[in-house]
Amino acid sequence: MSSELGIGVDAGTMNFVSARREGKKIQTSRLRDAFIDLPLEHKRMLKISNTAFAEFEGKLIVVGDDAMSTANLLNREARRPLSGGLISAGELDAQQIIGLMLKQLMGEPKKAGEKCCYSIPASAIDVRGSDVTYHSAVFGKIIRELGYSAEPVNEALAIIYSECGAENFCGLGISYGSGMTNVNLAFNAMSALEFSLGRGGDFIDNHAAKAVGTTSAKICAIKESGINIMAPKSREEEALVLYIQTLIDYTIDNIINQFIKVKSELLVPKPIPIIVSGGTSLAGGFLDKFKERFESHRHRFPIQVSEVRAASDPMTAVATGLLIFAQMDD
Amino acid sequence: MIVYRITNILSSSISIEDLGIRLDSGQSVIISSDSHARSEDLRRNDRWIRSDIIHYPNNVKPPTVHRKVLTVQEPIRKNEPVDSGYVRSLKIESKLDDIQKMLSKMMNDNVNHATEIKKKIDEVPTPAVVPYRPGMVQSHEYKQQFSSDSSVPMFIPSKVIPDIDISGTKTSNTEIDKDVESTLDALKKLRKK
Repeated sequence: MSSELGIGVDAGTMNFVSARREGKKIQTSRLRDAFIDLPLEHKRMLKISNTAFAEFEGKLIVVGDDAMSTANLLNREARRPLSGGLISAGELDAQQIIGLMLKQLMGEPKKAGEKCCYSIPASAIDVRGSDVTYHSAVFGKIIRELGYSAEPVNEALAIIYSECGAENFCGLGISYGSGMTNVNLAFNAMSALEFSLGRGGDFIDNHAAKAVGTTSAKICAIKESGINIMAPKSREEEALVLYIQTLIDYTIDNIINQFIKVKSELLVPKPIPIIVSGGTSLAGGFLDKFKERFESHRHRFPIQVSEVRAASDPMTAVATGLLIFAQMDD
Repeated sequence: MIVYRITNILSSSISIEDLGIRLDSGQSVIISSDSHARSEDLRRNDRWIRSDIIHYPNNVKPPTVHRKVLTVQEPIRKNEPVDSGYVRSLKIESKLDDIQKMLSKMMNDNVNHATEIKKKIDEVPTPAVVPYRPGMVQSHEYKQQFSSDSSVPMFIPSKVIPDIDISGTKTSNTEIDKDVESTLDALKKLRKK
């Protein structure tokens, strides 16, 4: 395989991120996974505000970060093609919008049938009837329509490929996304245990918003504007911290419970690192809070942990791991 | 438009909630009653409802079912009596027969299509690997399970991406220094073991 062929695409609830090799570097692109549709009368307003739009089925659509800012401007909620980590069942235009976004993000393949590895979550253990088959098939179909060959890869396993080369690809990857939290225990580059939880950044935003009587969009904006979890400065930040801590505890509890279930099948002979990644983990102090909570649970943890560390870039770690997958010879 | 068949109007007071009708100003409801006397009852409610009721004098036997179109002229408040002290109770038996007929026609029209869909669903092979079982799902199983085999029928449109241009949409780009080559070498060595 030519050294520049292959692309990784992290298909998240909040962001789509692609990774490609260019020489000795990796180029990543991020597109906010959101859109908004507006009546045609808004064309002038969008032109004035220099917002990119397209006409689609008698409406104007704005995609990406611009959709979020336009939604805030008009006091509306942006539409999300993915919900809870999977293609949104209630969003009828989801597939077409995802297709447009991926086309914009990935561009043309460098060669017909160029390999694209895309992320899929594991089934959620706390969501009844959770199933990723349809989600995976739709993404595969769209990526093939763009001229690539498509291969799904577990999201949290991609983190291990990206971050644990020095540990022989052994580690526990945790991807705190917007819709869900994905966990994968890999040993020698093989997935040994994987599951997801139906809680992520949206869970934090929605519950914190309810608690203090504001909108989840505002809480999300506070979270992304540089909050320090270890030193909250307002009522909203306090609520955020509380729910972040709840999510961390929930993750650790579920990891322990899942380990206990498969204890007889699982043999991890040496201490492994925990890699914390995902957009939700970008909140200031998240890693410190995770370490603090982990230490309080460490005595219950069924495997030895060498260290807890953040991915080198939590926003692009999954896409980078997927790129490595895509570049591997079959 | 909401359509009800109403039977068994006994008399006296009734609230809009009892009728099961929640309307805003300007919306309409057709009420078909098999009791002509009740048209008179409902017609009296013109404080709230402008009644286009087909009215039959007492000495004329009405058809078994006749229809009344009631248009609400102003929003009806929750639990507001339509005509306090006049109609005691009312039973909404079912939606009109013609709605049922319409539904059964729609079902008949779709039955062939539905049979086709069911046939296709039955043709989908049971996956050799269960989508998820706690623990020990190996990456090669993922490949197998989510293969790009397009022969598996899926109900996804053949062309998903619309022909529109969103190339003006901004993406945020970053450049990462990472030695992918050595990572790939390490993986190769691991595979050989």
